[in-house]
Amino acid sequence: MVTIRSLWWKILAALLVLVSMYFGLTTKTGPGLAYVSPERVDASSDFEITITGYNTSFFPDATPKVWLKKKNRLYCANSVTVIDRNHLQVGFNAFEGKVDSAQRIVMTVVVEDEVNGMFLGVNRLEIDQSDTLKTYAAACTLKPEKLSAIQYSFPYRTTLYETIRNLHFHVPMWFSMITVLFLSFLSSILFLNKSDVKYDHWANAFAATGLVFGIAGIITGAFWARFTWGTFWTADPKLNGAAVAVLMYIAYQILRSSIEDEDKLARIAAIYNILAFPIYIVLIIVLPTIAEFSLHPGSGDSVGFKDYDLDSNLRMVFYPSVMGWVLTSVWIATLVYRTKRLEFQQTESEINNEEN
Amino acid sequence: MMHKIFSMLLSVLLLVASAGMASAADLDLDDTFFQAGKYYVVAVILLIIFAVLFTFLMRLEMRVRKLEKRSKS
Repeated sequence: MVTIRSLWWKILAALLVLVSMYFGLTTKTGPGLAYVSPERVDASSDFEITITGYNTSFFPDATPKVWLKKKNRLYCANSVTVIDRNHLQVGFNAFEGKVDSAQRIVMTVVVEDEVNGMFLGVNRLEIDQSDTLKTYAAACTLKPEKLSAIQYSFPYRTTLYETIRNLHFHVPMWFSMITVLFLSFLSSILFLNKSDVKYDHWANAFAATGLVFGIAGIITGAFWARFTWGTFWTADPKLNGAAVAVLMYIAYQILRSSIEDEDKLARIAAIYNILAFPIYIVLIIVLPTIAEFSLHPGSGDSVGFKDYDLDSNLRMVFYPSVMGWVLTSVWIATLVYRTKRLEFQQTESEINNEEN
Repeated sequence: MMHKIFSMLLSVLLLVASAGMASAADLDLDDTFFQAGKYYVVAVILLIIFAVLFTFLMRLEMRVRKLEKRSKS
């Protein structure tokens, strides 16, 4: 019973990681708009488009509604026919006037029904407007109700597509790294305060674990970037900051292995670590956030995933995942610390035996 | 002790897996990828791998505990 009482948070860590991993892997993305065909239409006469949905379930009973949207002006479809669960045939009347003064415009397709909720295909339809039209077309009065989908699902985003679920695996690596490095920083302060070598062992164990999670974060990030941005690496404030941060903690480990005198080593390592942590936070959070441009979500001019997560479905998996991984990283760090302590105690007793 | 923890992890895992499959079937959506494509098998296999890793971590924990006890006495 004593073991269970002291192990509960480790069991919790395992359960959170496993449960969030299951839902992170199996929740579908969508409903979303995969294709519109044709991609270009002439609006001087009545026209029809076919919408192909992604993980949609169109039913005639749910009466899907379709709009074309340009800025805040909405144009209602004249007829919507459900072909099957993933296809809609949509008819529009010829435009009686122009949508705006340009001859060719790009419009967003908006679809909504009770099952799939509302979803968009942003700038997916090119429209040729007749030159003879002089007046402006009247927008329709029926507006989308901004319904959510019935099914629990992750947002369907172009560029990201199914990789949106990487959020639950890549990002917790960084949360874990930040947590254990903060604990390492605190341990180093405690060491300088109390001059107890056990705090130096804590600082070392936390920093080593942080490094492992940082390397995992860099590799997963590079792989994700290859299939969303098209390249493993690019000179981006977030990426470069993360790389320098990881190098800084590699340097900490090299520093530790290069000093012979143990008292000196502990003190120098503690000072390095205390200086490194604020710089680490600046590199990994502050500089990317205030940067003018960045590809990375949440940095510079890029919006974060919270702006995609309109019905909080991502958060419901993301938060447990972060908690699980942070607890796991602390757990691993405690194991590293305890083996270091055992090693230390063994060498101490060996030295004592020799002296006797 | 270890068996208890492992069987607990495994039962929770299977519970979660069956819940996920049931909810997908109830809604009668397009399940080509997820059900007909047997995608859930991949997810459960990954879960088993991680459950095994966590069990291994727990064994390591116990081994370190034993060593700590021995070095104290």
